[in-house]
Parts: sequence; structure tokens; C-alpha cells
Amino acid sequence: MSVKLFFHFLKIIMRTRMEYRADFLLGMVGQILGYAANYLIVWLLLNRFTLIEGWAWPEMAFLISVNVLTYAIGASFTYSPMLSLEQLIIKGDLDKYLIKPINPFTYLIASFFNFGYIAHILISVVLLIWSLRNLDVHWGVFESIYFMFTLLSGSMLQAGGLILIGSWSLYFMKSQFMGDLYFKIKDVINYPISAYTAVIQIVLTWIMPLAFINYFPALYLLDKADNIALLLVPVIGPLFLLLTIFIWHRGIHQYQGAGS
Amino acid sequence: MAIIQINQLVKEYRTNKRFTGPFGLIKSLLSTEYVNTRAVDGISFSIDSGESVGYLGPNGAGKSTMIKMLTGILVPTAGDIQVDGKIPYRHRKEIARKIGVVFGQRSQLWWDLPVVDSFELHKHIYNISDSDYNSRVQQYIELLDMGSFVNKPVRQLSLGQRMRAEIALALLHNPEILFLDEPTIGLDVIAKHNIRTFLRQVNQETNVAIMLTTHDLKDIEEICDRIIIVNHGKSVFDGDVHHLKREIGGINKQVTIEFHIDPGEIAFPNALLIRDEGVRKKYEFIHHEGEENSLMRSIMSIPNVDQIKDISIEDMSIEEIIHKAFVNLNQNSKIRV
Repeated sequence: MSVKLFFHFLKIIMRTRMEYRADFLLGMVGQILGYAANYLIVWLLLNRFTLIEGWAWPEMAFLISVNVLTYAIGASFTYSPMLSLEQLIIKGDLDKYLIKPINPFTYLIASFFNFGYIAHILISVVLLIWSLRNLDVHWGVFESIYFMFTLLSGSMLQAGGLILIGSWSLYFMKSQFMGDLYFKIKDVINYPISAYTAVIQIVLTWIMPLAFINYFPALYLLDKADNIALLLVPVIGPLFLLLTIFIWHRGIHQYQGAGS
Repeated sequence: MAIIQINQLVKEYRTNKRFTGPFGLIKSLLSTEYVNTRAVDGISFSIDSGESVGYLGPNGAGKSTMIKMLTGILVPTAGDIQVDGKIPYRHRKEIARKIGVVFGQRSQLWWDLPVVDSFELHKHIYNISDSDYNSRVQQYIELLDMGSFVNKPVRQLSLGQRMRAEIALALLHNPEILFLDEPTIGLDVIAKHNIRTFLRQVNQETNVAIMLTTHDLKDIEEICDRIIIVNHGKSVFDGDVHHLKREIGGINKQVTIEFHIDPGEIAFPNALLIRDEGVRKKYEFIHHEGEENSLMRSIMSIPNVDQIKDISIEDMSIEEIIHKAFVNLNQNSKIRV
């Protein structure tokens, strides 16, 4: 799909959204309140304990903000198409996406692009800037580029996680519980993973590589560890995204073989 | 030239076996046994470019499955399938440019936006040139009488208007074949008539091949030259519509006459009495070529005509037609399976 066609889809979606302006604005307010509560919990905790595993409030705010920001970017692309997939399959509407001369994956992504994450982006960027101003980070050219790429890689990891939920419904029809599970899990990285037991740390690094979204980049940027391997963090996202897209396409072949 | 060619095509669905009985639920949950159902069971036919073919059968006969295999949505279990010389599921994107698909039960239009916005997006997806796009949109707005609603949001359209827009959308990229899955389902008589007239016209004027599934024989009579009847995944009849009528002795009509008072026995020379409940009698009028109005003449000629309270005339149902096709064609040993 060309970029031009993708933007044409965005234009159409924006116009649909504007048909229900009040709903759109109320949704934004709701999200800002919801995420403000997320920050508030951690702030209250730190008000009492001052440090979590050696991480102070501005550092924690950095961790949470990177999680929310990358989630917002990733989910803008993949949340709606992947979580709608279950219903599309059950109602047979997925067929519509298989009769066009474009790739069904990009077609779904383009037609379900979600503008609703603007609120997430707003609140996370504000908190991110605030936290960076209160942190003593040396911002050279390299650090800036590294940070940009980790944000990109993190967004890809977040997008990929949602693609796996969509793939699940292609193989097994139902994915509701996977979605629920994912939303229970995705906030564990609001805390440094060193706070968890070894098993959970291994899971978050090697099985569900969520720690690469914010924890490892933070270790490097906030000078908390001096491991040269941390420089490789930005390649994890693209690799994971490619893997999940591959799994999704295997799933669509399975769907075409089995039928609905 | 054949544009669709299928040979001994089979599609099997595999479903988990379900058990009944006291522990049926647990057994169903744990069992790894499967049941294979054949939705399409060894069907062969070929369709030439510009042909119009009706694919008729009762619910569950495998009509939609056939459309899904021809459009590349589903992969067949066995057999050969070619659309425009290519295997649809392998060359899905190339085939997509050559075909238009209309699903009667699901919309491909953007629900909240004016119809033209969906057309506009379609133009970009298929890379249609400005001049082609403008002339075709103009042509279809006129042909389908869509002028009054192309700028209205789809959600405000009646079902008949929406179906017209769906068909125009499927034709915008000038496909060689138009597939329609139950295009007249849920429409009222006038809307049905409009859609049928239009499809016939498009088929004749633009030479686009039409293949439509339906369980309404009228659709096929008015749109198609050729009819394929399927039942339980097998082809029961394949030939032209007039041929079918000759084979099964025409489409009989069932007539129920209700009288104010019981007139006693009434017999018609061209009808069989199916049920006699005194005041309500049900006949099957046998169709004869060239005597289409003999039914009304017969009814009007009975002595108790002024005692008639109500008359209802029904076409034979699709199941009865299939049954008749089976019996008659078996006798003539012309059945093609």
C-alpha cells in the first residue's frame, strides 16, 4: 500500500470520527483522566517510599511515559484492527478485506487506524518532558538518536503485541481473553522489572520482550547500567514486529484453508 | 472464451465432533475427533466471458462457499479452479482487479460517510484514472438512478438504495466478472425489480460476466441466461433457463382458493387438487408453454366465482423445483453431477 493511499484512508477515518465529535472529545477527556490516575498511584507510592528499587519519582515518570507514549503510537495502528478481528471473523466480514488488490494486513491497519490515542500522546509527552527536565541526562547527538530509535522500537513492540492477539483469533476464532490478559500485563512495565522475581524478569525479557520498551532504554539513558548490549535495544522492536506480521500472515492462510 | 473454469472442485469444512449424552459437553471439549462436512462436493463447470449465470440452491447448498473460492477468499480442498487463467487464492491481488464482488448481507460502503466518499476511496485503491472514474460514476449514477442519494451518508439510505450503491462500487474498476452473493435478499418487490433490470442491462451493455447466487428463482429468470442448481454440494442441473423449464415441465403454481360457503367439488382440467378443506381448496396448476393466462381463465370460469373470498397464488418453492429437477432429469438420464 502506498503512503498516498494510506493518507487517503486517514482522511476518510478522520471524517467518520468528525461525524461523532462529542463522542470523540469525551473519549479524550476520559483517557486523560484514566492515565492521570495511573501516574497518581505511582506518585502517591513514591511520596511515601521515595524510591522503588532505587528509582525516584522523575525516573519512574520517565518509565511510565515511555510506556504510555509507545503504546499510544503502536495502538493507533494495531489496536482497533487486531481487537476487531474476532468479530470480523465471526460475522464473516473479514471476507471484505480479502477481495481487494491490496495486502489484507495493511488494508485492515489503514481502515481501522485510530485517532483516539491523541489524548494518550498528549499526557505522556507532557510528563515525559517534565521528567527529563528533572533528570540529569546528558543529551548528546548519540543519546538523542538512541532515544528516538528506542521510542520507535518500543512502538513496534507494542504494536506487535496487539498483532499477536489478532493472530490468535485467526487461528482459534476467539481472542477476547487474550486481549483481557494483555491489558492486565501491559502495565507491569510501569515499574522497573528488577522489582519482580527472576522468573518474571526472564519472561519480560525473553518471552514477552516488554522490558525492551522502556526498562532497558532507561537503564542506558539514565546511566543505571553500563552494559554495551543495551545499545542493541532499538533493533528488538523491528525484529519483533516482523515476526508478528509473519505469524499474522500464517494465520490468514490458515483462515483461508479452514473457512469460517 | 472461458473466464471461469472449475473441475471436480471440493471444499470440506472440518469441525470438532460434538457429543451428546450425560458427559457430552466434557467429551466435546476434550475430544480430538473431527467431522468433515463437504460444502462443495466435486462440482465442475465453466463460464464464458460476458455470460450471466445464476447459481441457485437452498440454504446450506454451498453457494457462498463457491463464491468464496472463486474470489480467492477460501482455498479449495481438492480440484482445479481457474479465474481468468489464474488460480484465485494464489493470485488473489491480481484476480481482485478483474472481479467485482457484492455481498447482499454485508456492506462494503463506509457507513457514516456519503456514498461518493466510498467511491472516491475505491478509486484510489484500484488506481482508477480520473477520466475513467468520472465517466463511470456519472454513468452509474444515471443508470442506477442514484442522483438523489449519492451525497447522503450510507446509514440514511434504504436497503434498495444501498444495494444499488454497492453494485456501482463493485463495477467502478470495470471488472470482467461480477460476483453477487444474494443481491436481492431482504429487498421489496420494486427494489428487487430495479436491481434485476439494472444487472441485466449492465451484463448486456458492458459485457461483464455475471455470476449470482440466490434462492429466488425470479432473480435468475430475469437476469440470467444460464442456471446452475446445486443441492448438498452437488450440481443438480446446468443449462439454460428455458431448458430447465422444459425439463421440469414448467414452473407450476400453487393456488389456494377460499370460498364464503363450501361449493362442493370443483375440478380444473389443468390442475391437481392437493388439499380440500371444504371452503378452502388448494390446487397445483400445471404450467403449459404459451398458456400463461390459462390459470386465471380457469378460475374465472368456475360457476361459484362470485362466492370466492380470497385467492393466493404461489410459485413452486426452490425445494420443490430441485425435487422435480431430480426426478425428471433422472428419468431422462440427463442429470449432470
